[in-house]
Amino acid sequence: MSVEARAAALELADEVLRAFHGDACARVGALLLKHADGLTLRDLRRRLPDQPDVASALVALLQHGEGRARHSSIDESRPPVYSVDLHAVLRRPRQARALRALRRHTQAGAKVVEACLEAGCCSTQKLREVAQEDALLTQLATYGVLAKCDGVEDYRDVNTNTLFDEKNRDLPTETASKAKSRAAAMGQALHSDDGSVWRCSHRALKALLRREATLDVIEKKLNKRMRRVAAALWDLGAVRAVPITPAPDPEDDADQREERENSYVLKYAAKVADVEALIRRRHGDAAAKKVGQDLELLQGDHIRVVSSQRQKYGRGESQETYLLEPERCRAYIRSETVRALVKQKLDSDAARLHRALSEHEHLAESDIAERALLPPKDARTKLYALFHLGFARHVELPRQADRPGGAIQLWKADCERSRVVVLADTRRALARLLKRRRFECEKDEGLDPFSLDDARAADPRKRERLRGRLDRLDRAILQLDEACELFEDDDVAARLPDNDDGDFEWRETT
Amino acid sequence: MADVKARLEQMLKDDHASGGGGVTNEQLKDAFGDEFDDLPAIINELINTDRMELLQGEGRTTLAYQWIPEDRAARLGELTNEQRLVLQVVERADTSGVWLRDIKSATSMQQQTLNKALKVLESRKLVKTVRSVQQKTKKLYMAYDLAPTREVSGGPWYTDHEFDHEFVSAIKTVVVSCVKALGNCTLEDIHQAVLGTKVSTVPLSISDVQTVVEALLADSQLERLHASDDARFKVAKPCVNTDWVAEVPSGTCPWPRCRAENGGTCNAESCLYLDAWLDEAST
Repeated sequence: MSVEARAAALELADEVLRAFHGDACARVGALLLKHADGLTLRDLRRRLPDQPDVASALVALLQHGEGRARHSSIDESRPPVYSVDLHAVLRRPRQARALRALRRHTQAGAKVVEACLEAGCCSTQKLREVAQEDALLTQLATYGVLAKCDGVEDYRDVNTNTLFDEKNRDLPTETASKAKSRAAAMGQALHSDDGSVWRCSHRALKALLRREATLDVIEKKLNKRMRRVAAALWDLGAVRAVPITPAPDPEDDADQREERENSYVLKYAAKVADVEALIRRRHGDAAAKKVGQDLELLQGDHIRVVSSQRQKYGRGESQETYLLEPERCRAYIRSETVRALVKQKLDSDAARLHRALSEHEHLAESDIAERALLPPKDARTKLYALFHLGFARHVELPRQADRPGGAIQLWKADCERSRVVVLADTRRALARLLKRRRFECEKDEGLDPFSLDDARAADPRKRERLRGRLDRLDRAILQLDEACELFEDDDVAARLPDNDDGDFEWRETT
Repeated sequence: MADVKARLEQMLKDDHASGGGGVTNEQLKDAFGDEFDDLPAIINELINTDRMELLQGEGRTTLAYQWIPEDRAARLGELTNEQRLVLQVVERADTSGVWLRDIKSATSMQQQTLNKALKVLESRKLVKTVRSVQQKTKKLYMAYDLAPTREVSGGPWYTDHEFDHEFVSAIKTVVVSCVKALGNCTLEDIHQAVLGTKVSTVPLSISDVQTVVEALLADSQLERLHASDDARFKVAKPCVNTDWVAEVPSGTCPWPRCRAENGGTCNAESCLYLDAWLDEAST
């Protein structure tokens, strides 16, 4: 992470910890984030002499999965070393969006997840009190939303599961045993009340958000029928998850990469008949007509959100199989967002020019001007403006004997740098709004932001004013968090220790 | 001999009329056979009387002979050697044109002699000056009957050597409305539709229309479909909410007066911009 990006991330982490856990956790968290190797409890107490509740703050962080504990395996007498997972802290605001998405599917399930998220982790007994029916808990566990705090979730599993399909018929056979083992674990916990502790899987929530974002774009771009088809593909597990697990070996040659790609498609792509069957079960016969055509349309669309491959089966038969490509959808949303950002910072001509640069390798100024339909002089000004913003870079080809003229400057869109710049800007904006929200809640001591519906609490005008301001802040916070998620590097997030292991062990990353 | 000369002249005229690139020695050998040996003297005579010229274009390993029409021969007939040399340099530059400085270095002439020669050539309508859109103050010289390349003239997007923003904007609007009317269409369909509207007084080639379509794709006004082998386009339907980019405050305050009134710094608690933004929500 660059210095600028890390500064923005730390600033946001501080505000998130303050907003969700309070000042004590924010101070402890900030100290632990500064020390990458971690600190013992004694170190923390020594460095925060004026903070009486360091231990409580640390427990809160551990309970919510933002803190990690590393126990020495060789010499158990050494005290554990604690650290904070920066990415776990930064994804905290995401939980509000995940709950909002979850409520679209099930109110009862959302209530359970909300309780679990608020507490960080919950005992089986507590979950039972909230859910009031064991079947719901078993369902949440089966689909990986609730994870028992004694193992690591397989990232792949989550994407293959239908969330809250009562009939539970949509699981591909090869993962059924994993789902059954999760169901069995919850069943055993409910039956024996063995003191198991459960946590919400952030991967499940992330998958839910990705699913909803992909399907929303498909519905807005095309129609509801296409959304149903895409949802069916997702719920059948015909989704190209990124990063692909197992991760490709960088030393693989082109043939090996193609073979890995083909084996992935062979394993997960869905046939038309399977998609039709699922839609028929969910929405009736009429909805299942023209599924083949719809899949072709999705494949031919601008975003190419579905890919297909002809697979050979026994007796010389072959069939077209389909895979959903949510990353292409995400790339499209990202591209549109960057275009809007460039348009807002500069103008629409610069946005067009940046898009033209993004779609080609290296281009000379005159080529870019022609593609963007701009005069060369204007194109040059905008290219340098994009360069200063970090959205474009240039390489200079030196003068050569066999090429007349002087050195040539070629331009290219700097996608990685622009991602980092946009992410840092968005995180700074989010931190600022979180800080302002806290200020708005605290500035009037006579006004409790949690009692705005209570007519006796304060002057109605004041309550309404505060409500309006908080609503606007909350909408903006959710929007900025969505943008942060869009521009985060999936590879980095995937390499970090998962939040779901539950036993607070910090495993060294390789 | 007269007969051979007449046949040679006819062969050259036919080649010129059909727009051929000149007649080569091999072609002459094939046409004249044993009489080929009589040709050098006739060729020399025709060159001396400016009825024929020698060509050696790029990529050519052999010479070719090209007929010079009578009117041009009349204009060439009165030129001095210096003027012919300048004319040769200008014609060699073809449709790209040549700067005065480059003519001077190619001919090694004095400036005064060069200027005189160019003046004569211009008056005889053998060369003309054009201005490049890339360097409007300098003059380019090129053969009178040639049209400048797109790099020089700027193409249909330039009027009087200035980029015509209004015309470009109008063409983009027309292309979008054509695609809207046609629905799912190819580049050829769009080209035909645009030509049908007669919006442009200059002829628009299919590559010009492609440039406009590519610009509209970059503007997210059009989308490319991948359903068939040939590229098809349709009007884009906005499906990504980006309104928040303009509505949500950024990480830094855009009001200098906020920093001025807060002692040089602006923090979230005292930011006037955020106050105003939140007050909009309250009203």
